[in-house]
Amino acid sequence: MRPITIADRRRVRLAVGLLVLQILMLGVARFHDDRFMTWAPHDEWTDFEIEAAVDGVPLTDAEIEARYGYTAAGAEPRAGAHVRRAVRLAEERYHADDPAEVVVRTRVNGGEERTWSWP
Amino acid sequence: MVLALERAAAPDADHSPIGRWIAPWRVDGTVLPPHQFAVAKGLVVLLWFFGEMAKFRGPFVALLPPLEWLPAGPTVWALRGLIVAGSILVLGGRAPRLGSGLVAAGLFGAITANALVYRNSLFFVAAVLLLIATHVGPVSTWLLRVQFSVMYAGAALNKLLIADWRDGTYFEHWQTVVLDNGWWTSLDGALPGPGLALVAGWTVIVTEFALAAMLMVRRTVWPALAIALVFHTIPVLTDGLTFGIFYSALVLAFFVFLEPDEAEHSWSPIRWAHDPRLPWFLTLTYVGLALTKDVLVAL
Repeated sequence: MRPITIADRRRVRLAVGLLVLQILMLGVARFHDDRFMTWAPHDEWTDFEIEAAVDGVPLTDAEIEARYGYTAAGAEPRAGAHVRRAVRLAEERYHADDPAEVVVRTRVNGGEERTWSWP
Repeated sequence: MVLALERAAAPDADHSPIGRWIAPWRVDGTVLPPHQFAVAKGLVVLLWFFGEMAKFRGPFVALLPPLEWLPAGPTVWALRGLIVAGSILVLGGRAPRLGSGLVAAGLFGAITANALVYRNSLFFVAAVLLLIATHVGPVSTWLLRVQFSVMYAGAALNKLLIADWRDGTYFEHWQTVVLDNGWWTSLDGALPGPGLALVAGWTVIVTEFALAAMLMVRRTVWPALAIALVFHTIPVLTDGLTFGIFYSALVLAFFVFLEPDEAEHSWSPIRWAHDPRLPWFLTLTYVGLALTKDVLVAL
């Protein structure tokens, strides 16, 4: 049996770190709406619509998709929070100089419509 | 038949490096257990077959904010370059651990740099390849088990904590609205009791918890794999849902549990299934058939 090397220990730590990260994200998911690295595929089906306007001028569907990465209307099979996250972060990080007023309408699993606005 | 289903031979000590390059069916002779080497090869082939690298995009609403400082074009090409380099190492049989690590790094980079690229299927492939890349011995195989268990336990827990899953709302909406399955409505009406959606939802939750537990016990690995195969194949047969690369990658990855060392401890009535060349052979067959079908359709 060959001796355990420092490289071996680092490999094991990396592997364990990956698993610990996932368990941590499972815990984070209890307090946060995002569902990245939490093994939550198809936990909810969210139909959404995005409306945005800059200086009162409505953005076209193509402009909305270019700005937020999501189509102006579509479905998100993982978590509706991901749509709101994309809009919020896109506005904060990329469009601080040309902010938009955004309304996101969502319907989770065919339930009642909810509206979220930015800012 | 090219593939003789027997236990893998011992590494060929004087096998020439060139021979390994032109013998892509070889899965032995490296530091990796043959099963894990075969799974790594298969996952790499599946990544290319499903064209996952073509879907990479530049940094956007990244999971790791510092990644957004990177330029879009060079970042995408760098990530693809990692996967190309890793693929060559894995498929060529040269440094498969390093190759698996490079491919995993490319995938993790892609899904963390752009939140819209993130998919659980890609995360799964990246995680399995990273765990294969960090192989040091039996403890690494055990960590692969833990990965599968975490995946199923996490999926079950997430669903259990959602009211729409507990009362069948999600399944009902999924089948009747999203998929628009007429057969579901007919079957639901014909069956007595609480409703098909409620039963289906709880079946999913209980099955995932059971799989998480069974995969951690060697004696129950084979039954768990059989249950998991049925569990994941049902939506393929009823709705045509493979969830992209996920179904084929998951079924392929199950073979890491069929190493000879595992076979000695598990209840396994089909010994030939433990040949490490089998998953590699199945992957190539699957891809070959799919490509042949596409060519025939095009003609």
